[in-house]
Amino acid sequence: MKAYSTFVLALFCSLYVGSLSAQIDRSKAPEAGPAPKIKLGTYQSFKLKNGLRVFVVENHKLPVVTFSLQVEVDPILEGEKAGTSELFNSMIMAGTTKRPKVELDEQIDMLGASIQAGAGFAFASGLSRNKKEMLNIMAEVVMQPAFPEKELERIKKESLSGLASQQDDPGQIASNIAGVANFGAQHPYGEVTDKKTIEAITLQDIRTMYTQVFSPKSSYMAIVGDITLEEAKALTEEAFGKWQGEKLPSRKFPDAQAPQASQVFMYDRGNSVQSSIRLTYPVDLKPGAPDAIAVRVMTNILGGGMSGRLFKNLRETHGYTYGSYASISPDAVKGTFTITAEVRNSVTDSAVYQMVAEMNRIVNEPISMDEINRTKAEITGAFARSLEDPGTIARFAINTERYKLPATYYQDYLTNLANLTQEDIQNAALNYVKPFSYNLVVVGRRDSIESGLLPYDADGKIEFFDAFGRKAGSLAPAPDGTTAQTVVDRFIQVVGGKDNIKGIKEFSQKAEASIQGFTLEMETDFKGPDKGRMVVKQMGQVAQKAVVNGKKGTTVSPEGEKAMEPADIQEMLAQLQPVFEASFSDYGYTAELQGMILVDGERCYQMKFTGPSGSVDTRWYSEESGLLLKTNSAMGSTLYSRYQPVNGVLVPHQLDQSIQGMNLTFILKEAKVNHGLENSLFDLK
Amino acid sequence: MLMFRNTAIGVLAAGLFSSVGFAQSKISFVEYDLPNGLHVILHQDNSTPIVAVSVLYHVGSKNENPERTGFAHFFEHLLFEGSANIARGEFDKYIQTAGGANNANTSQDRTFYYEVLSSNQLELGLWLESERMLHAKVENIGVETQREVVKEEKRQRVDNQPYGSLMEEVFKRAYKQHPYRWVPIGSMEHLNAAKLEEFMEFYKTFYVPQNATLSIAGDLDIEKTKQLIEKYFGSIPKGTREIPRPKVVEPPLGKEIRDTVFDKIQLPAVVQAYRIPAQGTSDYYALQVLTTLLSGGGSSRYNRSIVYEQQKAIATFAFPFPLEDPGVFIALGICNQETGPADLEKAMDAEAERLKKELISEAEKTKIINQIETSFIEQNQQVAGIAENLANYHVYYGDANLINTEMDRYRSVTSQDIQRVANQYLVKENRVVLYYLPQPSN
Repeated sequence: MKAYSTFVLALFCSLYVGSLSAQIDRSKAPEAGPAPKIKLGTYQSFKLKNGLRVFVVENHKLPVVTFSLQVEVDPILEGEKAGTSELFNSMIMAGTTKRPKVELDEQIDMLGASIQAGAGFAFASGLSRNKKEMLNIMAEVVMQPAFPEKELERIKKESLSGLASQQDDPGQIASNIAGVANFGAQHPYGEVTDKKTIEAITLQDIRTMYTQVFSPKSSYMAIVGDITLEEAKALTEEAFGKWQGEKLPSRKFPDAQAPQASQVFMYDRGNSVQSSIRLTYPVDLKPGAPDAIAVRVMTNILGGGMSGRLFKNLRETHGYTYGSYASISPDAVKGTFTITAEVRNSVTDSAVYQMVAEMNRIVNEPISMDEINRTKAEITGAFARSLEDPGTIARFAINTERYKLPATYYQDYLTNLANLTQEDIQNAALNYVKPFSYNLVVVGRRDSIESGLLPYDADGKIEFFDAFGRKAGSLAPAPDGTTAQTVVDRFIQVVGGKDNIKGIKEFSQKAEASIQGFTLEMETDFKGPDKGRMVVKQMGQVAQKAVVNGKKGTTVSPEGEKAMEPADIQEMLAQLQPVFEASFSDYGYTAELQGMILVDGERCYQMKFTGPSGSVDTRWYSEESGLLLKTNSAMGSTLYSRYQPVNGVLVPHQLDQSIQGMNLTFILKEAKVNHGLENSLFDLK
Repeated sequence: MLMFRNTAIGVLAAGLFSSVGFAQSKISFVEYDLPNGLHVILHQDNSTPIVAVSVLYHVGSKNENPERTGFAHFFEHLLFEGSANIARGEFDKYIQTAGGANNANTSQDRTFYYEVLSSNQLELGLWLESERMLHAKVENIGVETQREVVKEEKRQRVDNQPYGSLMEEVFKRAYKQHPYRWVPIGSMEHLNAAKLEEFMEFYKTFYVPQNATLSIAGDLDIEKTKQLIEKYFGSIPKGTREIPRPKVVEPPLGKEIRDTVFDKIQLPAVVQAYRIPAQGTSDYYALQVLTTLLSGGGSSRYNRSIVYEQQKAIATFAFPFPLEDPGVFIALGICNQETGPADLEKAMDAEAERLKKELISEAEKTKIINQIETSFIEQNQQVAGIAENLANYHVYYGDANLINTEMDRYRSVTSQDIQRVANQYLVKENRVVLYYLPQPSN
């Protein structure tokens, strides 16, 4: 065959190679041929007398067949027995009334088959020559489980070991905490299994669960592969004909909602080299909902795979991650929106910033038709590829019945997709993307990432959890005798003492940073007690300015000039002081010592300063040196270093700022004290 | 064509041969070489209007300079950056616009790229792959970005994953000279040190038609496809350099190597890695059968004895690592909470000893062959899998038709073969043993 082909090719080349080479235009992608018709394959269905509905898709390409039974059963709240369904999945495979586990395993392997069952499902696949034996074993497991007592002890022990190993897996921990954050621990999607709940499970619980998760009247069977309808009928009747049971009841659960404002949930994985990030919240999206296809298009644009915006931004532009994705899973009870990424510690806050920026962008900026059309093409292609698996048709048929979809839902899917307008997609973004009310779950190394994440928590209180989603203590308590006052006093003393600080009536600073070839200059001037000025220049041009003269102040930015609120005036004056800590209370700030925490490996006092406008400024002071190391506010975070004396007062000469995902290093170029500042400098124009 | 098995004959055949096998539908294909050395394999299957276009480059981490490990895998990332005619970032966009799916992966022995497209987009796939082969564009900006991405990939898959360093820890001890002593993800220091010119050198050496196999499966017309292949690949010049292939023969291990690895884990694990012959040798097939005996399915010896009866492990695995040059057979157990690694290791050793002493029964052998046969058939359920398998069989064994016949090699393994390879390879002097232990908390 090979020789022949080569011969034909050689002949062909000698005839055509010249003309072909002349034709080829590599500079643009070749045109597609006429689109092939995407045909949904056919299925056949029948119902047993006991109510079991069976869907058969014949496909004789390979000598394999798959039987899969799914039960229409609402999720079950297991509460103090959380983990029952997990143990159930092992118990149902631990022997039948006809044969013990060892014999069952032996039979399955002898067929070369794979057979599994669990709470509300069963599955068998293997070579079609063994179809009858496979289906009979599957039926035996489903209809005659033995639930032997002695197996339960072994399975519990295995499960406890499994729990221990889950504590290592950052993805599993993040998913535990995300469940609790989105749904609460009293919801089947939020409850978490731990040692106590596993130990509480009895054989009776397993038996009770069996009655709740299996019944022919609530079940669908998909049979796919090398089998005929007649064979399927005869085999199912033989295996499942005697199965009895009524329709399973439905259950209701407390509704879950996205939070009012963003919240951060953290697990401190001490030696993590990456942060696992899940930005998530519950959404209402039932399978087959009228806007489900539009939501899929929108989610794919935001973060569906390698062409999604998140992947392009976080991976291809910034190199923060191996991959970042968004998904919305439709669900009959409650769906979930999730953005995921694993990123190195140092860019954790920057990565979150970009995620939120992409959420804002898809909500606020028009989505181009070009992007929509590419995404439609992508989904059309995925739909067509999914048809290669004959199981897809069975799945479509069962979904149509189970979720009461229009009979032609899947036949019309691609047409409905093609007909979606820009407005439909934009509406999907408006209705489902919430850039201000999400749960941000982060599993990572706390001392490297915590302070950077504070801006993403609306109330400034990051909550800490253990690996199973239970609340953990957050800050370590401050040593006895330490108060907000002692921390502030120590800092004042370390930087030069009260008298030296009070002696400074006028104070000016000039600092410079460069970013992407641009120079940023920041100038501040303070003339006590009530005049202040701050100017930010970009390449010598004033970009932003704020001036306060007595009781009045204005800000000037590209958006225009604005009068400042009285509280903002106070806050600005407080921040322009040479030492904020020496006079914060004069400007309406209050201080609270929150506890001890590591900041970049150094044990620090965490102090919360609340300004007259209600704004929060969190500051960290080293336990060892007493110096201020870091601050965080709604603007971003700043690291302080290179303290050097200015007129007897230590002033940090390097400020590493992280603002809106950008990192800037400001170097103090000039600091002047009591140098006779003119009042006219503070004139409001 | 034998694309669809005739149902009536199939049922009859299954009835006749149910105990000894069945008439499996044969996967037909044509293959040939272009004058520039590119090997082409085509499989036609018109049942779904999709086509899988793949190119296998016979370069993996074993072809790397020891001072530049991780290059082959890094290169896989770079080759999505664009070409003379494809702007940076546009590669994926073309695929997306065409509704296709694509990806790539790198092993010790080869780098594999593929697209699955609607069959009317076959030409697009050929254009993209030919651009990648003819004049990929490697620029500093792409190098810098992908360096960070690959570091994140390593953190995610290796450093931050429980037991994620297992392969690296095993291979660096199992080999002293052969380039298998490092793994495809390689060294981040080496990637940091690499210069743009070095990447271009690598490209010119390995990404040449005579080092590539173009394997296409799905809804295509063989003759038309041949014409298109000639159009896009015919003019790509043959590489002019010699393609370096490691000739190092790794000497025997000589003595058992034992070590401890501390990791972010709760449950200790035991890893035993035995040095074995290359894939495709008759001993390798015997070891494959032995693997299934030890850990394939609930009734396998490890699962029955160590997990179920003795309850010493929550999970066990055994698998020969498929490699072109002599490789390793890895046996692995994760301890049950109450079991120490030494205790688990004893139980694993006892199973090895049993294999050496007792011949396995015919019933046990039948069971294993049934298991292997099922997975052998199931691996060809999708055109993408068929394209990849055809390319692998051609490159590693020089016989793409093994996609139809390899099962015979498994069948020919005797009980005596299994006992013999157990005695020959599963011995102390031939292995690395690692205990994975929880990192002491700080």
